[in-house]
Amino acid sequence: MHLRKTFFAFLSFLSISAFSQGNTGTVKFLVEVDNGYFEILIDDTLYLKNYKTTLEAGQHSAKVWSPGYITTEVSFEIKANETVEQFVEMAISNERQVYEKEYSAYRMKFHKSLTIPGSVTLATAITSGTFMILAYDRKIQTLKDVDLYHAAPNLEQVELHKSRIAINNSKYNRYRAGYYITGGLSILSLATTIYTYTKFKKNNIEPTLNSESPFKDRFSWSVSPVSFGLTYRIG
Amino acid sequence: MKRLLFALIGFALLSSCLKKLPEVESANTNIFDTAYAGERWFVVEDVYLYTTNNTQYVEVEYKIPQSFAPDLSPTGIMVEGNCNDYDSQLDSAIIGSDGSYYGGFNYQYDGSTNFCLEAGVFIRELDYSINKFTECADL
Repeated sequence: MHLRKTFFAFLSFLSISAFSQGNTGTVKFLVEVDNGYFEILIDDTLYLKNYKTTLEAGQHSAKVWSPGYITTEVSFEIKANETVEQFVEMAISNERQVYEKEYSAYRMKFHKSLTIPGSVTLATAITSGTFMILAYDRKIQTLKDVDLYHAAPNLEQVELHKSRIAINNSKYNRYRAGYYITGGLSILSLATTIYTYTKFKKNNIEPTLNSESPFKDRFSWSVSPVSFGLTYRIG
Repeated sequence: MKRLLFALIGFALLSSCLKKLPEVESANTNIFDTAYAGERWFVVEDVYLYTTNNTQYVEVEYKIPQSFAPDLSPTGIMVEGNCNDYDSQLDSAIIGSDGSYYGGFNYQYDGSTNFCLEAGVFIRELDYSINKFTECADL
């Protein structure tokens, strides 16, 4: 059974400014983490989510925690009216190492199941669309040439339009073939993507890193329209 | 699966716009085309006799129907005609109000009653006629 002693600790800035009066100094924590987030518990009483605070002069201890890191304890001394820079070297937890390994494998599977077939689908679809536009353009041009052929009132123009029809029709057929091939590939790729991604979703769960603060149970916020407070449990 | 179905339907719809062009296959029916593959492009309209300066002539009149004439209508179409054993003649068929072209060849009458006209479109650049067809008619 825990002994509970509940109190409203302070109201944000007001409390910090109270500490800064008299025989106090400042501590700046330089925490080496790659996620930019950490929590600090000073002397088992003061809970910080920023890197700097003002404390009474004397010896203090702090527990520093960041998701994926082992909680590290450091001791430091505060001198009156001075600023202490406290470097905290954090070690990556085993849990995070396992998580990173699992997440890397998960991402690899994800890429194989979605990113690669999805990219192929997109590339073939774009190519197919390009072929379709080019083919349609040639079709219009060919039909225009056919009309001009029928209208031609002499041999010279007949020959001219016939050669244009042959060239444009040949290109039209090439682009058409390109459209059918890449379109077919696009459909196949899409079917593959849907299949592989569905299978992936069915057989894989994204690994998560437990990022619960060890200080979580000791603090709770209460917010109301007129005030807010921090509750701290001892024991 | 819906996505795949939509993709298939879309592909099929777009494919219908990109079929083979049958119009290209039929682009060989201009009478000025050396590779003309259409039907006989003229009809013998009338064959009749007339007399000038006590000499009897036979007139073989022909018509190029509008459906065989190019859409950009020239004022005249040069036609070379060979009839029976007569020497060949050149004639410029003139466009009529209906869009068809009309022309005729006249020969000194030799007593024949049946006249077979072999006509071709005369091409100046080539100096010969192309797309020759024959039609016979009685006097």
